Amino acid sequence: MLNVSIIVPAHNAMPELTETLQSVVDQTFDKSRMEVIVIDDGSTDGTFDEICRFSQNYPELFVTRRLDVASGTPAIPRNIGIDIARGEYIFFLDADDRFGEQAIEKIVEHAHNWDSDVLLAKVVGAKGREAPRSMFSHNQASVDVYSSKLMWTLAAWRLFRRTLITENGLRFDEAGRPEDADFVIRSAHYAKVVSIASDYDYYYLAWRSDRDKNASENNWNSIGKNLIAYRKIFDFLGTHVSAKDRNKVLMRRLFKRDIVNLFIAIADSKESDSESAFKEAHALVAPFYHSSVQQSMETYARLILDTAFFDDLTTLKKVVELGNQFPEVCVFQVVASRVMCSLPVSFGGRVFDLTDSMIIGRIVNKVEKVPNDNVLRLGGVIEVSPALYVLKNQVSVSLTMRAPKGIFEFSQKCEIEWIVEENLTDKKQSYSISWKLDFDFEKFIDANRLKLSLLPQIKWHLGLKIDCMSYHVRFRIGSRCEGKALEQFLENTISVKGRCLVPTLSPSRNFCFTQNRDD
Amino acid sequence: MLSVKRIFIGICRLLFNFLYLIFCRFSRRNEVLFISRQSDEPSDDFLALGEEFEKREFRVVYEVKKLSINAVFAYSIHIVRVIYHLARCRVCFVDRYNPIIGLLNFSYDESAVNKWGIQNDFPIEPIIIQLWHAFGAFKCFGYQSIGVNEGHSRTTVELFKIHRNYSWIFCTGEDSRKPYSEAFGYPIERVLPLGRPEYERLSNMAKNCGSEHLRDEITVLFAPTLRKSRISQHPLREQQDSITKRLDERNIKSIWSFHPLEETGTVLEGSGDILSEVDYVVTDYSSIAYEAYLLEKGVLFYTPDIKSYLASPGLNINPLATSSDIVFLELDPLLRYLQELVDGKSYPWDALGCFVGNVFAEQPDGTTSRIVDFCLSEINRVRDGLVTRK
Repeated sequence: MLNVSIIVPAHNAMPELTETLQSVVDQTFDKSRMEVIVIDDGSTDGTFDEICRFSQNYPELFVTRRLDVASGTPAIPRNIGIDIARGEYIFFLDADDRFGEQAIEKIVEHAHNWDSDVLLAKVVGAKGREAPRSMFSHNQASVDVYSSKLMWTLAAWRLFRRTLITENGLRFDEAGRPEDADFVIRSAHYAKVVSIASDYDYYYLAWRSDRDKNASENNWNSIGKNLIAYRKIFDFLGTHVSAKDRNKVLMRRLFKRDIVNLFIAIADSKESDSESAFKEAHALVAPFYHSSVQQSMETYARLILDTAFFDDLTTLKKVVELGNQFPEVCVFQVVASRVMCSLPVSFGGRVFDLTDSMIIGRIVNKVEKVPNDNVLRLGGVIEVSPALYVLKNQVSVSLTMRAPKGIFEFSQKCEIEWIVEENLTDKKQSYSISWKLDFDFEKFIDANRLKLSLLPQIKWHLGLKIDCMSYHVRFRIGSRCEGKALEQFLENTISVKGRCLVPTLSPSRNFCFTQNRDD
Repeated sequence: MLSVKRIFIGICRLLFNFLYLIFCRFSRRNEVLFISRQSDEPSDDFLALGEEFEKREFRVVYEVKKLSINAVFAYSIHIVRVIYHLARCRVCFVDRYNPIIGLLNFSYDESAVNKWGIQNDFPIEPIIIQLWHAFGAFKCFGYQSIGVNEGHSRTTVELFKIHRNYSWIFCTGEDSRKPYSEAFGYPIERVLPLGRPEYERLSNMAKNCGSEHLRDEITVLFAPTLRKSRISQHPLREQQDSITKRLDERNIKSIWSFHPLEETGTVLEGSGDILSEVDYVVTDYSSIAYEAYLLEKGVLFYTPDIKSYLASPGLNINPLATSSDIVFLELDPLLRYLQELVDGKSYPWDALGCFVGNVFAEQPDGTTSRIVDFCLSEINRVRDGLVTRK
């Protein structure tokens, strides 16, 4: 029985295709239980020759097809692949990416164990490309499609049960662009079990040597096709998914990435019909721009979206033109604990409340026990809104340790350093605070004053607190770690005055210490 | 003492509002009111705006009177006149804090709710505009410097309802919007960079005069800013005699102009006119630096007390950070630099440009008519019922 069909659409995919197909034939999985369907999409370079070479070397493994003329979208070859696939599962592999050696073996094993209809396997970046990370903290046999971070990526590289596709008539969008988001959303919606495997580097997502050929890079050069794709997506979400569910994660993702890019493309467009495209996009997505979605938008996305929805195209063009320079032009203020951003009057003068979107991401990248001491050296990076960078002279970061319900809270200021980087993925600047602190529990809580022995067994939650004038925000740390930070944290028990602090994780996998007696 | 003050202010508030209610029985007319307690004469800003309003067939009323302990009766009459005109005018301009405005209750815009600012009331009848008397916001003021020597106490601010009741606040450029919104306690969208007529006037003056003057000697204007507290340092006042003497020895003429609210010292009226006669300006933290910039006069900052001034009242723009080339913390280097300028050293205009930043919008022409147009459009919005009354 065939367990898996791997579908690879390939259009002028050399030289990367060689490595891609080689990664397939190098799989540890039994090749008699898989097939590789490679569809040459009217290539004019050596792509088809390379496909034939692999096919001749592995005639049992490869199924090949060729389109005489390039279709212009990976949707058509993928749909052809679906039609001829025979496996229990289908995996869509892009012609410029590759698998880890044990990828298929582990994916199929997980899918069987978890009875998955859709399985998203951990993706890692290669050749300078960044991959989504937030959803890959740990293995999840079954996730809630709308509240988990699954929907932060809407790309097709994942495993689908073939019957899920056929029974629900799922097809990639041949007329719209992006072609895969609608397919991925519908499949997740109809699936009974959606899983995430994070225990291995399954899929390497890479830039092509010539970046212009990357499909994702070219998503925004055809506004008409974009509008077709998003009409399909928003129509489906409007009719099949409750507002409560879709606003949890999916709408945030769609607005933050897709709709922002759509409006930027419209504003940048030199076409005479950009005004009508603007109106069409506005009418299509404005009803979905719920206040909870709006408030979660990062600063730049918020600027673009609010201007698009509440001003006109002329103002939007001006704001888009600002690009990376926007923090220099906008005014950021802390007013009565709220962080406000205002555009100059010549840019519409709109004022945004950014309070709920100050922290974009956080990662712990260092946990070490200081030798011969009862001290943990902690460190990490917090990605923040440019608003905090502009107000950086007023910003401080403290490590906090809170008992449940905040009965006790202790904090200590961290050493911080600001990092401003050009983000390769979205070509925008990112602003981060690198923090570090030697965590000495005894000093931290002033153990001489606080009689630990009198305290019952208590769970301390580790977190960070950012203060900027009257604005304060607290958040926990640990759910995202880099390197060996998580293992190091879990290995190091701290002993203080006859008590020991045992490192544990909270249900959302943040760092905690459980305080027990030493014995 | 505080409770006496509180009772006095309470009585004033009741009385003012009672008078206002009575005067409100008269209908409003196309009248514009200008109020100031800075001087007994209307400022150039007020005169220019008054002229423009007159062209639009508005009745123009100037109620300007310098507050003086010796003229309590005259000032009381002035207050009654101000309240009467506030009840009859459609637009009112103020150029600094005015207690009468703060203590009265007007009709307010219901839709404009400032959820997070200090001020929550934006009058619609009359429309009250704060046209601050200085350019930019070099030093911190108002709500930015509460509880410090050079600022107001929190009790005073609450008692007098300082800076309450402005519909709009005007400034000359984007860089002033944030400090003004903080200083007046208003949301930033209420601060508009529509300019001041003085900006237009000084820009035209610069165009007509040109920047090159051939003179045998150079003249330097020393214009320190106001120190409200007696315990604050005031280096330029303390060193006035010595500076004058040492400059005389170098054949550099000095003119001194202290802030109009200083208790002692020479006060020269019409800073723009004086500026046109001098070559350089030395100041500590006065916004005269901006006027000098418009008139293309070199500015040097003499700030030996900058450390304490940063603490009280604070600076929105620290010249040491933006333009250290023209900042002097000691007297000898300042005098040496002035001598070098006399000897032909060129003045670093870029440094002054960095200090000024975007305090001025690009286009000074038409400022006066733009302001009047804005006021008329606001009046029409109220008249057409587009603004809901609270």
